[in-house]
Amino acid sequence: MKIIVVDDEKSSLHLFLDQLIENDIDYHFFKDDGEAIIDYVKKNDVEGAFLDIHMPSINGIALAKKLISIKPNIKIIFITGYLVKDDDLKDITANVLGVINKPVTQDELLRYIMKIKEETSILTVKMYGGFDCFINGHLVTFSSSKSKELFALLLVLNGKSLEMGLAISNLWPDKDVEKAKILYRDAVWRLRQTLKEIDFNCVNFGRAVLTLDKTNIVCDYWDNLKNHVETDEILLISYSWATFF
Amino acid sequence: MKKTKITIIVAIPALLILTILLGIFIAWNNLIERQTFVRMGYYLTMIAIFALSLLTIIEFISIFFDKDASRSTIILSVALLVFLLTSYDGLYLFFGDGLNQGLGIFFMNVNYFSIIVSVLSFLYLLRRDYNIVQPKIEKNLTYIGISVLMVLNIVLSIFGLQIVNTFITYSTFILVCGRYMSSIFLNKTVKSSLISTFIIIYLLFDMYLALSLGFTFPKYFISYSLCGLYSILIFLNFLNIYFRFIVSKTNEAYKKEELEKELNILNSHILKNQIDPHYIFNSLNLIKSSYLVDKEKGEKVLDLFSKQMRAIVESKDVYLAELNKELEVLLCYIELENIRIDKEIRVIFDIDIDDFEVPYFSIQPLVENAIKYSGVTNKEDGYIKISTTEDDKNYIMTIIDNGNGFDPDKVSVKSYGIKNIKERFKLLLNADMIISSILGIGTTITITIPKKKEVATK
Repeated sequence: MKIIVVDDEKSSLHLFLDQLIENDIDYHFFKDDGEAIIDYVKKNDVEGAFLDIHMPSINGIALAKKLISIKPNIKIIFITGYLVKDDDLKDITANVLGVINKPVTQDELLRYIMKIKEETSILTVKMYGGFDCFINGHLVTFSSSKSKELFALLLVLNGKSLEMGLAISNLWPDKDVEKAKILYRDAVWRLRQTLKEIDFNCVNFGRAVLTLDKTNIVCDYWDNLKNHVETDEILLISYSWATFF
Repeated sequence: MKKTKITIIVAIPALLILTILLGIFIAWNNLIERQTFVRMGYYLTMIAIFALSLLTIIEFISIFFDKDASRSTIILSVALLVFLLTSYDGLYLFFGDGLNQGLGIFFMNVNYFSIIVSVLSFLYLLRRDYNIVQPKIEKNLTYIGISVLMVLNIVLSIFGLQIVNTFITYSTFILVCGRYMSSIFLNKTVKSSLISTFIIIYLLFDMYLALSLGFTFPKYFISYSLCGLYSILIFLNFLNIYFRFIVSKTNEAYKKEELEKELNILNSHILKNQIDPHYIFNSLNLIKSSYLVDKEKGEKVLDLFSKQMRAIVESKDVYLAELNKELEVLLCYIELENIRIDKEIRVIFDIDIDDFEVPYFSIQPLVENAIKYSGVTNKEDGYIKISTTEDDKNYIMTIIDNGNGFDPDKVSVKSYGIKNIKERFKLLLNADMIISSILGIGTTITITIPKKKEVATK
């Protein structure tokens, strides 16, 4: 798969791309040399383009429009230090996958590469021993331990919905109900933010119930359940309530 | 533009009143020979009606070319034009005295019909196109008034009471014109103002005519003058309504301008307050030291810092933000502070409802303040809790900390930053922000945001 990166400044983008280099990603870096870019895109099957917007000689949005006219299916991702208004993108929204703000993070980049390849993100969940989640291979950091625990509880239910009552009795067994409800809401909000950040919205956040969408999640515990495999390994070692499962 | 409007608003009624008084004075004192006086009035009315018709024709043609003109505007313009042309004076203008009976009756009926159409399309126009809100009493009086007049018109014409009938027709016309004037003045075009002015002149001379005819033909004095007075009263009533409309619209536009100016100033101050060099260099230092520890930590701190900077810098261009976005920015700040002070600041997001908006970059500064001055970071079980909930009328957000609190009498929490936020909540959302505190117990900031009523779409 060929992609191009256009930026008048040497950005950290190709450092990341070097790290991510897989056999089939071939990227080409351009400074704001309009002709060379268009020439390259005409001669090569470029699937995705990471474009800066504000450059000395060309405007990224105008460049995007030109590229789209050459290759209507090309996917555009803007990288910018400035605020981009929706209005500016209105003619090309079909091709624009997103706008990344500088500085770019590796996770974001990987996510967009996967979007260009039209691959879906996979969440890998490890429940034996400690509890950890990996999004496309990267460790997911939760903003609080309780929100992580809440997610673990939801996952261990293997697709069954998690009601607030059950969550509270397991996560905050010795707090009074009203206080526990507040802490529940805090954990729920934090979990939601974490999932939004990794762009993996697998949870439906109902009023007092959380429902998990199991698609694209790979979980070692689920696999064992499905295949009726017995194991000595301890499930979710750090959580006391895990012994029930 | 505002001054000109006010001048017109004040000048026209003043002019009218003066002229009426002048007319009465002239007539009473026989200063001009009655016949001449009447004829003068007649000719002036002719001129006015001619000018008015011309302008209406122009307006009508331009409306046809105006994409935004609705059907009711077109119907109204046509109806009004027809009314003018088939009115007593209009017919006199075209036919002089040589109008035969049959044709006369035909035109009279057309005249009445056009009035009804004008009135109906007017009211429709006002309600639908200009969204004019009127006090209930006046609205009812208007409808009743118009209905009564229309019925009277028809009844009297059946009984052949022409003279009284004519004046009642004119009165209806005044009613209708008053409305028209209000609505087209709102259009703010010069052409509209001209038409309005001519309508006023026309009506003015009509009243002249009523009174002067009353004096000339004493036998009919009472009926003429009464009709004239009746017209004047209705006219003044509508002048009053139109006055109020203009003033309110002018005020509205003016208020909106002032509001935007104020908001821009407040927003630009966020930038000034938050981009504190001290803060920036401290953060850069933190980033550097984090990188020296571990590349990943350094990257994380750098990302947090840039997210913060982005929020601050973008605050110049944006007024409102969704609550969740604001809380995201806050979370960034907390994580950064945690690294900076090497402690974990306990922040609880007790978020029950999140589908409302708050002023951009308003929550973080409030929490920042709480962290700085409450000493929660040094307390064993110190925390800051952000709760959102709702009742029928409002969204309620509270920021509570169990820190040291402060004595409102002793400490002036009139820091500019807090005032800025309070004002923006008020201006943008009509929300109230109250800070209460008890020494040794903690501080609570309560923000009450009224829910927006459902706005009916056109």
